[in-house]
Amino acid sequence: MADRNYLGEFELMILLAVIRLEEEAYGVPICRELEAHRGRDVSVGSVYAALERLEAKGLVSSSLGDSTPERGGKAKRYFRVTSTGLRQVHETRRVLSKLWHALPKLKENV
Amino acid sequence: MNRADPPHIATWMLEHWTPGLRNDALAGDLLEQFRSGRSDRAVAWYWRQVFAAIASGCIREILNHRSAIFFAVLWSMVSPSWVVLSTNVEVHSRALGLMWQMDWPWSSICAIALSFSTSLLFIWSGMALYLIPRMSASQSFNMRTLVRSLLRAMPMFVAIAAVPFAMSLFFHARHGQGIDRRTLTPFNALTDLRLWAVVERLFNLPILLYGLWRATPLLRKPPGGLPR
Repeated sequence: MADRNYLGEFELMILLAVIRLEEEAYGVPICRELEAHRGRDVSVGSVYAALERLEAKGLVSSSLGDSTPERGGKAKRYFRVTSTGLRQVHETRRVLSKLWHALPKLKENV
Repeated sequence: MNRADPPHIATWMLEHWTPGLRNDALAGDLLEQFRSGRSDRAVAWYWRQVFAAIASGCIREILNHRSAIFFAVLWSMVSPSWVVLSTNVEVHSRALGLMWQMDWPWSSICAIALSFSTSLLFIWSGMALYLIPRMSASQSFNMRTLVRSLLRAMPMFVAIAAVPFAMSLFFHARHGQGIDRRTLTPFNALTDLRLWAVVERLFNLPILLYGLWRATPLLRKPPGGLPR
């Protein structure tokens, strides 16, 4: 049976944001990164739900960071992509690229 | 508009109604975004985020416990058969027959204790049937964890058991008789859709759900880096 480990659209976006943010990847910057590129509001709860799924799959790991007064004394949770997660991103990109290249040329205004 | 504090009720709801381990980090992120002055409609944004967080947390919890929910529904469907079976054992047992020859209040105390014990035995059998294969599969079986898991169903059992018990006392007092289950077979009871069978299933379902729900965290190791 085929291995169904490909990432969902939202999960892939979050993984890319976490990779890009490097050491600063916690809830707020991840949401801002997604909002900036998607052009619409993101639910912080759904970002955390996706991050939990990714952590359960072993694609990201998390650790508690410092807390600041503007957070009401609540600690930040930093996320980092694991080597498995990075491999998964490359694999998904490879498959998507192949699929895109196999398409007939699309009109720019579509 | 850049308010200092978000609505307290929304924050309380977020902290208490969002299932999962990340409530603190999530609440901190929302507070940080709120205080950084996202927009002039920050309060509405905050409320929207809180409702979305609660909804996605609940959906995630339900999905995480889907096998427990499915099993609880299935096992509670069998509960009328268990009642009929235990009634038949009670009727045909010589030792239990002696119970009815006792004077009041001992006869009533024994009958109540027997009824509670058989109900609890049903709940615990179901939970053990669900938990043991999972513990064995994850190579985390140990008797202490199993007993702890079974005991976690007790508060809900005690709370819910009081309702049908009070109801049965009411019906006994009103009509002077209960339902004669001696004429039923366990197989007939399985498909019985009369009120007593439905009540029996509804009685067991929340207890099983509660017990299995609370037992599920004991089955898995905490993810790395997450203090509990």
